[in-house]
Amino acid sequence: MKKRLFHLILLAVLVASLLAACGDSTPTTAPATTAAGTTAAGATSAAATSAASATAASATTAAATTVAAGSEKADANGIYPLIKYPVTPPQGAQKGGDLRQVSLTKQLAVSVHPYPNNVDYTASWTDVASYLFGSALLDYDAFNLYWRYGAAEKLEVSSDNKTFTFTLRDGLKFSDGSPITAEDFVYPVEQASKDDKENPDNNFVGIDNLQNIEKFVAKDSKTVVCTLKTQLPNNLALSYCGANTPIKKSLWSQYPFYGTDKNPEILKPTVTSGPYKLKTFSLDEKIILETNPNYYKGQGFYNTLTFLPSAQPTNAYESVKAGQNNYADDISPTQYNEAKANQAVQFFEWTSANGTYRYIEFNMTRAPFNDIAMRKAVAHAVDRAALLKASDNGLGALSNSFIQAANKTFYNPNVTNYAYDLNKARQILKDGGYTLDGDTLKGKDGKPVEFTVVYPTSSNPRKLQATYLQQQLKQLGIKVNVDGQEFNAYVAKVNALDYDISLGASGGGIPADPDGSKSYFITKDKGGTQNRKGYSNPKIDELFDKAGTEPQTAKRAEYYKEIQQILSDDLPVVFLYTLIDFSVTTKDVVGSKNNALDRMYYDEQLSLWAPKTK
Amino acid sequence: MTHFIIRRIIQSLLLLWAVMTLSFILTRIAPGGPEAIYFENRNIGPEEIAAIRRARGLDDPWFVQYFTWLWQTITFDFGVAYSYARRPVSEVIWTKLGPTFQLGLISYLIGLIGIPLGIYAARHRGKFGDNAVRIFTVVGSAVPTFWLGLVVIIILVNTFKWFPQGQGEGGPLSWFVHIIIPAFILSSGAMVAFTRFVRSETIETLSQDYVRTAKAKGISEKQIRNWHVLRNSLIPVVTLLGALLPTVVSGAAIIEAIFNWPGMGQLFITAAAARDYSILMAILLMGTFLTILGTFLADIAYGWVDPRIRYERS
Repeated sequence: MKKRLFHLILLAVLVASLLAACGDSTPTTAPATTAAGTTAAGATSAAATSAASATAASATTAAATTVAAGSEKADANGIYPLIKYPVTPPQGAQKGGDLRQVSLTKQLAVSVHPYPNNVDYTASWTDVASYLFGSALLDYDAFNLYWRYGAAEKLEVSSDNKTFTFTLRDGLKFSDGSPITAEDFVYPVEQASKDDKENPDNNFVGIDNLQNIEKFVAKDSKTVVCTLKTQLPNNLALSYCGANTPIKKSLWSQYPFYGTDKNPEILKPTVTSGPYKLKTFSLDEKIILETNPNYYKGQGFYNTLTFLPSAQPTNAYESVKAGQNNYADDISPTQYNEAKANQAVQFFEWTSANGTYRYIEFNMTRAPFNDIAMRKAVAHAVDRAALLKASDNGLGALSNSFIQAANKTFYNPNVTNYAYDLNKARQILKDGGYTLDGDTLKGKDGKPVEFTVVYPTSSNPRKLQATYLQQQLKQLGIKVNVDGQEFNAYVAKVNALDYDISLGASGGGIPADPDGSKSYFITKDKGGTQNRKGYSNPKIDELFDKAGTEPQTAKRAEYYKEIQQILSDDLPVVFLYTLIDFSVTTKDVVGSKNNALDRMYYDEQLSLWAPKTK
Repeated sequence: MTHFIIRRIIQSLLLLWAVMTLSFILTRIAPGGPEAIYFENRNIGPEEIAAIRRARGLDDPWFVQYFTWLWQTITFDFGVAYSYARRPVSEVIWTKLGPTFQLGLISYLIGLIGIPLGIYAARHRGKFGDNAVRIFTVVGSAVPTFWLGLVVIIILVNTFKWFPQGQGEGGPLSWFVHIIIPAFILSSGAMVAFTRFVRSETIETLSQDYVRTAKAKGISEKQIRNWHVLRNSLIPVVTLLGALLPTVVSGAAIIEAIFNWPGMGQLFITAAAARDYSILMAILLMGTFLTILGTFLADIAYGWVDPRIRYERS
């Protein structure tokens, strides 16, 4: 009897533990490759800066900027002055210590080439390279979203806006103390511009941007001249010409530019141009950087920066909470509430100008989504607010465009808004020739309407969206099949146009000029490499082409606003919402704050953080 | 014995070839390919994907790909790891082997605790000690290791902060504190297996006539246990030891993922997700080879432990 009672008690304890441990499924995010791909939009160089999407402040939702708006002036080229690092740390902090940053992914940067190829350009590469490689001619202010002078102290622009002459400032040095000259800027651009058509794996990820450059030469040791092939919008031009970082030519020219087996600098760079230099590189374990005493802006306050992977997305926040690490630049949405309420960490939350947005993508090459009526009906059948709550814990803002609302210059707030209205959806279908036979919607051919929603199983939010669509569209009499695929299989299906609806996510990284999104919407054989829905509208092609070459911002804005309206009318995608961003640091990190972009570490901000004085 | 060994070597090589051929086919027919990594890259369209596949030999006829891989494997050329900046596969695996070997070896040694546990349970059959051990083995068999790992992390790592995650960076103490929890959880399966096997074998051996005779002759309990019972009870353990050998170096994907351990298991998952065929095939080859080797060594040891077993030419 006693034995039996003992067994029963033990069983009860086990069951209770099992129930307690069961909870929300661990959310998954898109693989790093997806995030990296979106980060790559518009990237031209190791500093990962790109064309600004607006000259004026799009930072209405940003935290306090490093410089008060209006307190400084741009020159005639619209470029603001350089800001050097402060000499003393923030109040209450000291120099020294190690800042440990943990990522959301299990794979760290696999190489640290300053001009990475398509495969090596990952989110983790950006984390590390942002601090190894700097001294770009111009820097992008992540708070105010405009350009500043960096390694260049002066810029002259030709009257045809095609030639940009940069004068280097004095005192530029690599981490080994050797001077940085104009040739050190020219060399990497020459190399990275080479297009290996036989093996695109050898190409620089931003090669399409560099291919806008006609000539990139050193006039003398302190002057770099960049001539574009055509006149471009100022922000794009400055990005292509000014965002390139130098590489020590006398060192690198001994080796092939790409090829880890023959170029030891790719895996273990001995000479760098940024605020930090490489101390330790352990594959998938940790990457440690130490301060570069020769950096022209000054020295970072932390002696070392350590970058760590995270086997699971939730581990990043847990490790910061436990005090094992200092900073997680992104955390899982399911931990948002706890992180926000946790007084033991510093929690940052903001809406960035380049936030990730989610959308529903239609395959317009076949029925039923070759029919605008069906697309509009689906748009009206989606309660986006409810969907945001269900799949992303409500952590976002509704969106009607690929351009973020924070980007006031180009954003069109007046596009058609497809409000949630099932009755309207039904009416549209009826007017479109669809009939309801009992609970089943039938098409014009008399057959029941049925289609498949495909999504990658690595993304829990998209799985929830798929389920929502299935339930929601059932109310219109439509049978929806949900097809979750492992990511590679999902990509294969989408590339082969073997889907009806795909659930996508884009954005992220540095602010892409709207020009960076054109590959999603222009006709496929006209450069629409990301247009996997069979959408083609010659007017869209024409407008993107004009907007990409128009130098006047106001005129460009007109083009982009028209593009957004047409997309809203044609509805190749239904934009759902933009996600908010959030990060955490431990309390002993002084000076940490978010900027107007989606990552706190942009603009060399980690150099300005410091450990609390003990 | 020599004939047996030669025959087993030939059989092992054939088995290795068959398993690897099947692995080659399965990895190639899985949907999708390495092009998924370029999904959001606007520079990479269908033409570029085609060029990349050509450069990697992925568009060659299947038999060309197969024999190219087979020849390279025979000559110990495992190719380059495309998802690791085209480092040699051997270099990538070598960097992951250390953490996995540490974790595997420690868990292997912890698992051996099941042997004295099984003997203890057998000797105290029907008593509290035996019941406790039996409950432990039942629970250990039923509870999935991933669940156990997550619960341990929630309670011991995140709540009480008694143990950290990842690999230790300090001295031996830091290393031990970091490794002990994942090693213990990884060892649970082996420990349960050893306990159950040894317990049942020991109980059977204890009931043998020669043991009763030894007791009747007045031989001490200790001598009976060490000379008569233990050696006979350990025969099935030899088999288990061989079967568990591959885990020391092939990694435990789930435990490594949960505990942020940068070993072979995580490498396999990363390579599978990226369709990095070179790494996948190299790891599969290693795992298969070790499994066959472990079984082979177990068979040899079997003959040594039990003199009744002779591998003679039939």
